[in-house]
Amino acid sequence: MKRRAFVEKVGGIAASVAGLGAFRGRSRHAATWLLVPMDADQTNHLKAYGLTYRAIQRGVSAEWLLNFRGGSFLFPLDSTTQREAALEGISAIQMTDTEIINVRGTIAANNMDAVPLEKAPEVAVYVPPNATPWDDAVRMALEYAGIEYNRFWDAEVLGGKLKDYDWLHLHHEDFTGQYSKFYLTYSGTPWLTDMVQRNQRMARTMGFSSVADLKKAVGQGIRSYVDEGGFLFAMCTATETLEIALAAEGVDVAAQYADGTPMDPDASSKLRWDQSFAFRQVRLERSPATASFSNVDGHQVNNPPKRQPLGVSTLFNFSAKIDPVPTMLVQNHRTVIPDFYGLTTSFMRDRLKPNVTVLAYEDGAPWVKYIHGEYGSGTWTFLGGHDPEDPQHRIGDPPTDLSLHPNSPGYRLILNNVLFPAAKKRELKT
Amino acid sequence: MKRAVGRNGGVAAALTVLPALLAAQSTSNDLGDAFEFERRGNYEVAAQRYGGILARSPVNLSALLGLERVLLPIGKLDSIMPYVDSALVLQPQNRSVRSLQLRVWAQLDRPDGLAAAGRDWVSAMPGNPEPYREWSNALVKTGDVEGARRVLEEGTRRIGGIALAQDLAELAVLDADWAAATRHWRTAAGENNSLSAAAVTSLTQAPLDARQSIIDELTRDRGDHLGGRMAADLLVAWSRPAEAWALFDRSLPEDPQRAVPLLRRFADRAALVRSPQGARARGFALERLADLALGPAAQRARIEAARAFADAGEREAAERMLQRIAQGDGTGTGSGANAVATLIAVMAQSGRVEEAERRFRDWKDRLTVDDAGELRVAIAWAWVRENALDRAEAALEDDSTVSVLAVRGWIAVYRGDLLGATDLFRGAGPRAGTREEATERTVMLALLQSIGPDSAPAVGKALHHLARGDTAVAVRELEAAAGGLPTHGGRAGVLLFAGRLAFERGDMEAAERDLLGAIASDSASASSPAAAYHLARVYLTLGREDAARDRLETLILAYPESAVVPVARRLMDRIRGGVPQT
Repeated sequence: MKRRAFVEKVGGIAASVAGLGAFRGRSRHAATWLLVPMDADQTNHLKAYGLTYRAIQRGVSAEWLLNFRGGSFLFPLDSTTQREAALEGISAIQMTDTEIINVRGTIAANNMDAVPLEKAPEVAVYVPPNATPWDDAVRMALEYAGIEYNRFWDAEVLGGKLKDYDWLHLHHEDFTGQYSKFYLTYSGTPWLTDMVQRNQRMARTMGFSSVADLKKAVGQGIRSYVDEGGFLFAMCTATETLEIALAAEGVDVAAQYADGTPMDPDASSKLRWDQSFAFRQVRLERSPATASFSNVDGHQVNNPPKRQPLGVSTLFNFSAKIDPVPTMLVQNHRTVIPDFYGLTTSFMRDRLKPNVTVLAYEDGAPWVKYIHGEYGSGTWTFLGGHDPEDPQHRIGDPPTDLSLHPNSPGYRLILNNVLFPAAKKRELKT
Repeated sequence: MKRAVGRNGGVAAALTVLPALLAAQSTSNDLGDAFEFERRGNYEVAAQRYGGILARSPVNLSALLGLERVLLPIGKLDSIMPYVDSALVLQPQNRSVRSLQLRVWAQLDRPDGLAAAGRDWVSAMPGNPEPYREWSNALVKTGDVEGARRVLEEGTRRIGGIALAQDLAELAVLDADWAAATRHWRTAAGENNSLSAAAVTSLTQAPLDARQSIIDELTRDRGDHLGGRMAADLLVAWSRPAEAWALFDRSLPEDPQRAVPLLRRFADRAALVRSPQGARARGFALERLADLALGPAAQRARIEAARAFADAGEREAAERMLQRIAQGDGTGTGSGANAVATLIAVMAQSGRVEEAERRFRDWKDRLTVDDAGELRVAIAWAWVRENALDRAEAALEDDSTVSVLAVRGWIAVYRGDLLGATDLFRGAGPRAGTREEATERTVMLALLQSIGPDSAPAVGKALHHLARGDTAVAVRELEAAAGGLPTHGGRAGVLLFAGRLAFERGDMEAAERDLLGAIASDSASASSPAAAYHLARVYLTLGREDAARDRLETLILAYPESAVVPVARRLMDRIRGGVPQT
């Protein structure tokens, strides 16, 4: 269900009322609820999201207990959910009605809330057809947690297929059409050759004169999707390059190697940031040899003179009852999370539009890590960096095996994003 | 009076120096303040502080660089130019200030300013390549690769020589113009041989389709062998060590003093190619090195060559090296004894046990205690493989080290003396041999302890077949031996062991039969969940994913406390593609 649809469905049904009504006529001493705690007692945080997603998919009326024991999930006790929890190694506690009344009392008295989870969102990931899941942290999280998703690429976006999905993820696609600016550094490597050929074929097939033009059109398709109520979650370089592509209509922002013509020397001043989601007043990196796109990224991992060391990000503590959406996005058993590099690692604070909500920041640093905002009837969320459990992420590194990181706080941020469109909203204040 | 004058003079000197000291102290404090404002992100105030320092000391480089850093994020970088101009009036040849000037014009996207600054620097330092180099770098930063090349070519024309050849080569690599890159690198390295390593590193990135033309260009005869050696280095980097050695061999200088370090370098590079071909090329280089070197260096090279040939599977070449070492060292100590030890181990491994034992007897007094102990173990294992357990035991002599205890334990296993084997393995402890060997003993101990009777010759015989490499017979005999064991006295454990062996050798039918047998024979033992896990692996190999998943689910739900549950969950994740297939 897209955001507009469920905002329209605003019911004002309090979660606590729905929960209390559910146990009428049952003994207060028999276990009738299953609580999946998400604090330090949870043995597999990541799979708990998959368990919840699949339960909602089966029509189970789950609740997300924001800020309660790390953002726990609550289900009416059923054998399938119990069995899945046992099989997946997810900690789950059976509770009686009386115990749940106490839980709800705690929630009512503190900065917590209970949000009903209504409908499992239809998930889509924008990715080239030949990409393996291990290139993309979100796909890894989805695969590991057992959340179904569909993959599509440029042709599907331009063919209007996005309307079938509630939630869309982008990762390290370069929407400026410059092949992540690896063209010179990794010239001749088979993966880059394949990437270039595949993109050029797609541009020809779709009738565009260059990959850069194709990607701009795809970016605009994604913007329309958000405008019409879609939820967009982007990471790594997709954040920055999508923004540049959206701001660059009619401006050549691609280097000569990418589209046959040099970048417009005045490109930076011609960009129209009113067309984008998050950033403003950005200057483009003009050197084709520097794998950096602009001065949005505070860390500049591939720009040695400007490269900044990794620190830690702190999650902002929102008011659960007033701002449920950002609260959902930051549910975690840790409030401070080690940083991780990506082609775009962070976002300079002074380049954010005024209406952007900062979800995670680095204390004392001029950049932030995790941001969110609304656009039209939809929302977008950007998380800097490539892979929360591979802080350096060098090309050729082995893939991350999430079974070795089942409690990853960084990956929880990703999965919060997958689940939050399932929430039945009473109001949306971000 | 003189003393008074002296004292006054001292005071005067101090008064003269003091203001300078105080000024330096003040500048240092101001710099600290400016940096602190910068660190806090208060760029406007930091810029004012840096500007204040520059007003007093126009060539204060720290302040100038700080000003550049803070003006950029607040969009006022152009206001640095008056400070740069002032600094250059005082020090027109200051390279750091000149570089900064170029960098600022580049960041401001001002090609006119950049060109003027470049020309100005060239005029200030005619005949120096650095202005051209920095100017060209700044142009690359703006994306103007073609302009950068023109600047370097102009510099080359004006200065002459090869001063900018390396820069042209690097620019050509940036532009993926591999022909030009090779030409320029060849020129640069020809003039300065120490650049050949940088050239090779740079050209290594060339794509597959450009590589042969690079080799052709480098090996075109220029009257020296440098190009050939660079080409050989590239071939090694591209994992073509055989071709590399052929080319390198032809390109070696005749003078041994020059050839030896080159051979050593080639051998070291070839060691990075982890393949038999790489090891063979390394062996050839070391053999040649040994022929050219003298004394101990030659012996060391031969030992290394022998190891490289052994790694390459070239046993005869390895022995040839070792024989030469043994012959060349009449004392029987040092490298000669080392070589003999290696030679004996090679012989034992290749099945020439009699000969190995004879040589060991001849040399054992001249070997180190450790070498002698290792050779006893190697010879004993060789006899085990030859189905001669008595000779194996005799080869261990009266050695009582933990390594030898472990071997005695295995010999007891093969004789079916399970109680004796258990005692010996316990005596050997966890430190005998490698970690893998210790793990193997632990696995065997677990199996032995699950078997009721103290003696089980049929099980021992089956395990001896396994040690001799005949897994098929071992599996059959283990199945048969399991039938003779009590239901709760090791049958499940032996069947589990047999099932795992069958799985490893790809006999899925036997594996399924044995593992099902293990589960059925004693569902309460720890062998049962382990057998279920391995059965799931068998089904997975057979493409029966549903059956595998069923087995794993039953295992996790029925034996939640079993030690195999975590790996079972992991296998479930793999089945549904949830984790990478590593």
